[in-house]
Amino acid sequence: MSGKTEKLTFKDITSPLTNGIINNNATFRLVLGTCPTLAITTSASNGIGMGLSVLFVLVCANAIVSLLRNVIPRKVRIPAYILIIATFSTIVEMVVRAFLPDLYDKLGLFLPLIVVNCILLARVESFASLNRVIPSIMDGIGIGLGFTFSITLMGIFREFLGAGSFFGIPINPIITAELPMTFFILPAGGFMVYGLLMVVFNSVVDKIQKFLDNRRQVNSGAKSIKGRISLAETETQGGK
Amino acid sequence: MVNLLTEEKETSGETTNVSEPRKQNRSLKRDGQGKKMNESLKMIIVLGLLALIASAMLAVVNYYTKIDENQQIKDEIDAVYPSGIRDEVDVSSISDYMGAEIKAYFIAEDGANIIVAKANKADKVCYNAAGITIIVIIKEGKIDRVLSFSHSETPGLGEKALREDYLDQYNGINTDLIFIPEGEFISSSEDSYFNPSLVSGATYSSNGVSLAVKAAVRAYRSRGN
Repeated sequence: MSGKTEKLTFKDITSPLTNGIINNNATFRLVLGTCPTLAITTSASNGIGMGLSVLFVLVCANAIVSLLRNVIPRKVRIPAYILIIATFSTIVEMVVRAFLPDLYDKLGLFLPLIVVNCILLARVESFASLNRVIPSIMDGIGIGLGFTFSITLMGIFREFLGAGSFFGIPINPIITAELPMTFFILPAGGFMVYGLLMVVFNSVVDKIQKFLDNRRQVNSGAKSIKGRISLAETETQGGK
Repeated sequence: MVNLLTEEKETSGETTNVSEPRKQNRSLKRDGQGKKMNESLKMIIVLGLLALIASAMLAVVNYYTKIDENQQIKDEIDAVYPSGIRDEVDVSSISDYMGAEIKAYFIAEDGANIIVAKANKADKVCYNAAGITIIVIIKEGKIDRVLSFSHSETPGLGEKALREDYLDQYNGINTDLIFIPEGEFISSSEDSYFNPSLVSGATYSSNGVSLAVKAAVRAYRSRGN
């Protein structure tokens, strides 16, 4: 994939995308970027805002690092990566501040802190610096979407249980007047929801993977049996 | 005299030229130093160029996203108090009150005092770092309205203290009834003063609102009202 002359296959392009969302899910699988995950997921809209901000920074940083991977000297690669990530996270901060002031106020310190989010540095260092531009962009999109999905899911759960609303809209005034469990909006509730969702996500993904592996094995077994039968048939025909 | 560069040494009757390895060593050293120099130069150039491009990009984005906070406040006031602004008071002369600052002070066409006060995060005041900014409209010695301008309090928790139904408790309160102690922030006071109710589970946010209101009333009083 990293070779200069090799042509990119469809799988080379799409696999980083699906891997980023499921197998390398930053929140539930790699357990990266935990600080913003726990801190800002008090509402679903915060989760979407933070996730999309990280997605933008990740895609841009991956693309630039991949483009410059042969130019950046190895000894100064980390400062160079941080510089690139910091540039894009500052751009995001400026844009959100100008056009989405409410979201800017809610995300607070965690927006500029995207620069030290380990998801970014991890992907830039382990993927973008070794791969070509298109797979790196796809990896950025995959990981970013996976992160957005995870923290939005957490936000939905915490907001629903803790504030009795969905994306800021009260579910039912009769229910929300009595039932919201403030605990889920607090940090302790964040840890609890994080742990529970992690268990559910991993068990579901593992089961699906096992099912797919079994089906593949069955298919390959059937193919080999078919192959043997056809081989035997040709041998018997040849014998006759 | 011994010529160091072309020194010849007699060893067991054979004459060998020792200057060649030395020359090679020196040239190797020079090559190594040259490589190091090149590497260092490359590092400096790459990082310098990256920094230059980054600063140029940020300058362009900053140009298009720059916000005039004062204009933003004026727009918000126009939306909530359409009577129009007659005058703007210089807030630089108004001192901060226990970490709460006056962001803007306007006099409306009908004589109302429109004060934008911000309570910053402090001990037992405000839960989130962005603080609480409110608009306090004082008319004829009474608080006409208290409105939320911006905050980052937790939705469903601290945010309850910024809701209209909570802020409405200040409406119609005489400014003389607002207790403004100096030295330490006290959320409640003697019965002769107005004691705002606190939101259960959101005491810090309620304190933030209370402090901002006190700062606004203090600024109002400082103008001789």
